[in-house]
Amino acid sequence: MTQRELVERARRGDHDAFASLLHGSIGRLEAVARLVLRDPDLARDAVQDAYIRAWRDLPGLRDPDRFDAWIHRLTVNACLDVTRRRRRRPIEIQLTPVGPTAIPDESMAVAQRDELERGFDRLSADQRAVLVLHYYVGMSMPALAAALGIPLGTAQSRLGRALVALRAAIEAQPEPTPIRRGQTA
Amino acid sequence: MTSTARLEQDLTIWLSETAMPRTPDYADEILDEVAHIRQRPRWTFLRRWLPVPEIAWNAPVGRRTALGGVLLLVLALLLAAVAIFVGSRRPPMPPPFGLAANGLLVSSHDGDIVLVDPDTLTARTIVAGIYSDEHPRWSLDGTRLAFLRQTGSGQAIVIADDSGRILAITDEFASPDSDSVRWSPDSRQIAVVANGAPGRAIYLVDVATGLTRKLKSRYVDGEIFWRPPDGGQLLAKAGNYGERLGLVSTADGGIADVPTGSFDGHVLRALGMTPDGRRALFQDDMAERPQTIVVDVETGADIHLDVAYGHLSNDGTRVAGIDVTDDSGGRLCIVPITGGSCNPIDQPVAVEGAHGAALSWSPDDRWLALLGDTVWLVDPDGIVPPREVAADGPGSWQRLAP
Repeated sequence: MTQRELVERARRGDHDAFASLLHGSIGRLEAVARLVLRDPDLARDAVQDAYIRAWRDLPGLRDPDRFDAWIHRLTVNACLDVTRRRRRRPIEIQLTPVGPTAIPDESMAVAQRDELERGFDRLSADQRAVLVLHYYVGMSMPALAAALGIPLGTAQSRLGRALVALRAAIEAQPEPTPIRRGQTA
Repeated sequence: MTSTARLEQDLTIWLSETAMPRTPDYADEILDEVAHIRQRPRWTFLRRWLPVPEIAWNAPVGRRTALGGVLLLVLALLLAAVAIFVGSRRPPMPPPFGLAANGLLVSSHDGDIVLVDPDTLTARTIVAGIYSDEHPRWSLDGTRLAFLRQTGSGQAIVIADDSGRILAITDEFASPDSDSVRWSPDSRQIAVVANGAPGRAIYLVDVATGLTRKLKSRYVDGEIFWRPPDGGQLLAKAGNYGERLGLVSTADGGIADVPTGSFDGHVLRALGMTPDGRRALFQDDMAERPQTIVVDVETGADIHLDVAYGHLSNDGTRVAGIDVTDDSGGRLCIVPITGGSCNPIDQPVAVEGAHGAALSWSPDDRWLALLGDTVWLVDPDGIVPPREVAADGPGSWQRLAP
């Protein structure tokens, strides 16, 4: 059964069809939420919110072929909602790695990844979302604009600003202090 | 490469490595919760009555005014006009089987992925870095690439667009057969043969997510081929040790035997399928000089061709491979699929026939790519002199709309 047929069935209240849609997309959307929120527990909340809203509002989705863009939009919305709610709570330090550790390779590459990760963590959830949708999900700029519900020009400038912010965040990181002889780490 | 391009490439790789999509353990909890929630009636959606964009920002309904409705109508019409304009400019897709126009050749060089313009022979690296990447293969719609990346103890399949931007990376496969990496006709899945439990198995990769599904079949191995036109089955060698030729269902892994007549019990090798999906090509790997056999998968009627490790042209009329009548054992030749004598090809390089990717037809059938120490482009009709390509790995041709 095609995705379009599944969406049409789920739109009419078919739970099995919705389960198929969920299993076909939840892996990618959970990864998107983890990347945007940088916290697996918050990502779980966002993904649950997104799918519950998707089920409730599916009858209003006019074009079944837009399901992918629509569910990405719901997920990003849910991530931003979670971020807004979190601002009202004390900040918690997250020690759990977000994803599997990268395959160890040359030390310089590992250091570059660490820099990139720390820079990415300093971005706002809005900025991370636009980077994740474009560079991880692979959305073209028109698709990105549609998924975020913003004009194409706004999407392009938002992506450009996010890249500039990422570069600035990476360059703002202090150089590691060399350990001198006799000094303990 | 500019620093911005470098940052974009590093970011793409890091995001792919960090994300590693997987089905979370709370998926069923969501479904349990959803089972108790009623859907909103369709008539309550504003967009049912007004031309609101399908995936607009969510704003409270109460704030919408008649003026807002008019503005949204204008906006929707503008978006529709833009969509029609953009849609009308989208290049047509090539058919997944049969003849197509030639695009770029993708290959590998020193562990990087390179694109080569077959007209100018200029090459540019699109994926570079610390990893060893090899065996790239174009999707049949010519928009994306899949290649093998050496990871810890195995290899993962990386999916990238035509600029080298990485879209997804699969989990690691144990001993994947590099010749078996094949895109489905709709370019949404990739099939690969790798070690399973037990024996060898076919895995299907969802291109959008990188998630994999193992087909529940008994032993399958070697090169595999999606059966035209819809790819509902894969041609592979099967049985207990490869003594059968089977069409493996991509839905449930069930195997339908292909009639192989007098070759039953031998070790067989799948070589391809005709573009109409009605005939399979295979050879007997136990034979000293294996012929290519073309067999009707329904009736079992077959034709024996004096060529080993045959590669079928895209139009389904010619087979290129090793001349079995030549005592040197390494001469390339081309034979009509209907049979007859095998015409030698002017070959600049020795080719190892058993390597499935050692020989490939261009989408328009006007070139053969031969893999030796480097890649050579050879005119199968012998009119244009051979041309050397700056690549050292198997090549794959991009298909474009004819």
